[in-house]
Amino acid sequence: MTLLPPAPAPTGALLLLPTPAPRLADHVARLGPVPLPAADAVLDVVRAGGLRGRGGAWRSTAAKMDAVRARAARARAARPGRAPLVAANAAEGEPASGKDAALATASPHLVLDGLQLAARAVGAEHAVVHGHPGPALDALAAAAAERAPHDPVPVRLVAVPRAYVAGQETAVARAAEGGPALPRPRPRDGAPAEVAGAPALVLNVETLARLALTVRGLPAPGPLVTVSAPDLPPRALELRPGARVRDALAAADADLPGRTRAVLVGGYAGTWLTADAALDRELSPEGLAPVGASPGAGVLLAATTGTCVLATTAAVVRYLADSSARQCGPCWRGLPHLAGLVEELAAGRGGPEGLARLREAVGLVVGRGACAHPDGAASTVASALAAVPDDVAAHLAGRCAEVRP
Amino acid sequence: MSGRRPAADARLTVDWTACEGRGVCAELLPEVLTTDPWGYPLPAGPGPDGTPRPWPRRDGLPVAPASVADARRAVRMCPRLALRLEEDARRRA
Ligand code: SF4
Ligand code: SF4
Repeated sequence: MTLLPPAPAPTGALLLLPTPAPRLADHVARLGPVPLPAADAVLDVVRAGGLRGRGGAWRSTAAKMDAVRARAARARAARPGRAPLVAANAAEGEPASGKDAALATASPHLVLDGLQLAARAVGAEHAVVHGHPGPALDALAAAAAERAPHDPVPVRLVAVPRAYVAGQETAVARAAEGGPALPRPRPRDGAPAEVAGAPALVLNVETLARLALTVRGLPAPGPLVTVSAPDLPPRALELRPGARVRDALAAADADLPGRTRAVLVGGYAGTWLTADAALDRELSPEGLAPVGASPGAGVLLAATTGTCVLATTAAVVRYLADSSARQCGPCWRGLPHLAGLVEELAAGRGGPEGLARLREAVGLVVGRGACAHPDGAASTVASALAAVPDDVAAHLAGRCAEVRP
Repeated sequence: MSGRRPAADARLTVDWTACEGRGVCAELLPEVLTTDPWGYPLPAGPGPDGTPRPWPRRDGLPVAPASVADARRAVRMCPRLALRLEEDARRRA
């Protein structure tokens, strides 16, 4: 996708998306130099601040740091000299997301402050910035060069081709070793990714920027989101704390909430909600959990009046099928099969029998891949069927009530 | 691994990047596994509304004590060495 210019301020001063992007001297003048306390002190602040991963998983950053520290202690005992690696993950393969690129372009020094702090927390001796070639990576590279004389831990750039799964944690680790940016299996979900036998702490760029603000004792910024609609290209926005889905849509386009029928929340691998269910929910894991969704990486894709939710879903699942890293059979065979069945339904073909085969195809991909890519596609399809049952019924009868009345 | 080890809470995981869907595992372990339309292992038995039973990605597929010996054999016989059985005696205590 195209990289986005930082969006204009919806409210007040923006902490994550300042314009223009500050150079190091302005950054330090504005926020002060990054404090680099001892490892345990960084961890205490992270824990107290309740920092969670903004790449989409919302895992506790403190828990992730703890896991890397524990694994690093074991790795060192086995082979002395093996220090963990930290990675700033700027790979944003999600086509409907642009917030990481906007953030990295607007606040590269904040991200790199966070990277140094993360390195401090786990005792890392080297760091990488992982991302796709483009303005965001260029901004991070220029910032890293500018501050290299002051940064205690050296930072290396790893540019990888744009791909949906290139930002998976194990793909970041693999690329850092010089391999392809593709996921690899790990013994258990939640175990740290590894680079050459040492654990790697991989944190999304927004998580790192928030870490740098938290350690400075600054208030936590509100959600950073990317909003798009059929007639609205993806737009990155920093919202006020406590913002609801409605606020995010309205910040992108004032009358978008009024003409939205349903929202795909969390991205291509997300959850469809009707406008009624979604609009007044707070944009947080807690706010969205009661309706079975998560903000994921802060992606909101609105299906507006006159848009077929099932056709949109078909396009999304086809995209996910084409994005399979083709390493795992149930993923590269199962996702195209699933996409074909959603396309049949969206076209008003297939009938009840096709719908039964579609439900079966969803079950066939769940949990069956080295990464959660197939599960994401399953979630999007299952939630579409649940959110718009009337549309499904109309399509079974061979017509789309929304587009072809 | 000795087949005489006490059967414990065991969980089967597949390295999906290695599995080639020849279905040897489902033949050796029919009470636990069946195959999908392409031959890749799938949990045996019906799932919700007649759909396939989802594979528990996070923890692996539970294997009942009576099937653990067969599961160990499937792990040994998988031509791609794609299967792993995690046996955790502590979970029983
Ligand atoms: S599940 Fe799919 S995307 Fe993930 S590693 Fe396997 S083939 Fe690649
Ligand atoms: S025996 Fe091994 S390679 Fe064959 S289907 Fe089972 S897990 Fe896959």
